[in-house]
Amino acid sequence: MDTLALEHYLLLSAGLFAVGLVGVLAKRNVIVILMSIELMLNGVNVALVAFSRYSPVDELEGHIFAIFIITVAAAEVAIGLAILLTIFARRNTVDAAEINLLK
Amino acid sequence: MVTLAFFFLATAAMIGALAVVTARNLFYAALGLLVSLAAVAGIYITLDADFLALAQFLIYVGGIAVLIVFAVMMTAQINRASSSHRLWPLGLLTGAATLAGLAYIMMTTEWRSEGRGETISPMVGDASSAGIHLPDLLFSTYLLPFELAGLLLLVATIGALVIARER
Repeated sequence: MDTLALEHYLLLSAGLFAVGLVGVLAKRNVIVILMSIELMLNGVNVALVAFSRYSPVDELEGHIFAIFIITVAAAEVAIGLAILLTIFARRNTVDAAEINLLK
Repeated sequence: MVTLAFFFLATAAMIGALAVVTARNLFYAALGLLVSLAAVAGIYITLDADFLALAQFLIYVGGIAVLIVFAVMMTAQINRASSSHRLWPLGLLTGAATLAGLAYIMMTTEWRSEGRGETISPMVGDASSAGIHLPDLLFSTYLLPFELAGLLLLVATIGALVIARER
């Protein structure tokens, strides 16, 4: 069987990123948009770790970046869901089209 | 073996991701996200990134996904929640164009990866590539970003508590 190359991982990464992008652009529910952002961040992480693994020199910078991305994603989800629950409690909606207070 | 595992995990990750975007029921979307994140954790193992796989599993699958499932249950608009808005074909087009562009760049670039990628077989991987260097790097060169990440998490925790507090 064909051995795994960097391209396999990059294709998976690009696929996850593209699916997440479609979710962010096309969906109305804020929860689904948040989930799609997580998908995009995961796609980027796969690319970073794959680059780190297949780089000609022995470096782990890709792992470090991935760890920080996971950290920031955790903070982002906590804040995002807190905002979401507050909006839902006050306006009874999670539809991005109806959340237009700043318009 | 590793190739087989990779293709299995990659398929699972993509199916989960597609479920997030296409599922009518919001709860199924959350479950799709869970599957996708767990599969990516497996992908990290095929890349010799054992620590990252563990972190992914604990933080994403154990933390973020469960948090999202809670949010899904608390907002309880499961039926009408997962619809797309009027301009969704435009979003689909943008996504397809992004994927095509990334794939084109990927295929036309000369990656200088042959040296290490083929000599060390994944899974067997020497301990030094995953277990020993990472903390050394994290606590020396990247100490300041590490501390800032801790501060960020503290601020995010307090912020989330303040924002979501009952008034």
